Amino acid sequence: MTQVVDVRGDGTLVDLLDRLLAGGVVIAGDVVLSVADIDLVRVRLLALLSSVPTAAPTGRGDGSGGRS
Amino acid sequence: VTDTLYYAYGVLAATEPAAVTAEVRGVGGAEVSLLPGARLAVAFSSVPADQFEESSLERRLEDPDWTSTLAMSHFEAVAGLHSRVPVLPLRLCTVFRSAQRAVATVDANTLPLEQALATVAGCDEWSVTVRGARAPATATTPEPTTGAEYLRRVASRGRQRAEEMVEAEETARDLHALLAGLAVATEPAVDTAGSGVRRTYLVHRRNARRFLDVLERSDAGATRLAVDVRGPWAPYSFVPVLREAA
Repeated sequence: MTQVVDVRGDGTLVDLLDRLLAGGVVIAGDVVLSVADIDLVRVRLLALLSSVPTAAPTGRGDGSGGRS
Repeated sequence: VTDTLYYAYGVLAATEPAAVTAEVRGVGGAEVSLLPGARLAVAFSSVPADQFEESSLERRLEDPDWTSTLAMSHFEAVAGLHSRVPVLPLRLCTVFRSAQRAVATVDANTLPLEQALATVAGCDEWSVTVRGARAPATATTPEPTTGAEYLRRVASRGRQRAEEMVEAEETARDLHALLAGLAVATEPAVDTAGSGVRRTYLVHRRNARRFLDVLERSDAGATRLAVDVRGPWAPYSFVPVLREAA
């Protein structure tokens, strides 16, 4: 069985946090939070969120979001 | 001490002012704007310092609701940019103390950032996870009545898991052979805690349909396995590792 989840509408929160906290360009230097701080946040949050059923994030409801 | 900080979402070519329209909103619904550097620009919005200064940010990030809302805002801002122009997403919570520092940081890394932007142009990221379908224990199976019976069942479940894992690895390899040719770049396979194999692909939009067709057709033999496809993401996994700004 193949399931395709369109993350623009049906992505899960765990998925989203995993991408946003593990991916993306990491800037070291004059930023507010260090890389180590963010890694720690990721570990804590994913542990917390993986232990509860995940709710699908909803759009902010203005109807002009990223769906195309 | 300033009252606002610069929450940065992504890096794009400075020649792409069309990337930002009023529809692209960031944290707290604030408008996203560009800080242009020499050749690259940083897409950002202003955020209140009292929420995003180091000490309070660390505390707020421990609140899953606050962080989820932040993540959704970040995701939507990046998706808004990504739907218009090539963009390299920044990691969640990249907050600069000054506009000048933000611009200086990307300017100091122009070469790797421009190379990565050229690679991801016109592409989306997709993740493909192959895992055991995990048939749930049937309600009709009676509870084990003896310790030996219980241990036999545990062993049998363990064997089934191991067999599924081997099948998942084989299927993932076969699928990868078909998918790699349709992708611009691939991230190495990740073992998702013994339950499956995940790969991440960078796929040009003109090949997206063919890429998904391969996955949808893969159903045929793999009845014990599930193929989980997620996308289209902005290229979160296909970004360069930067050296520290001097």
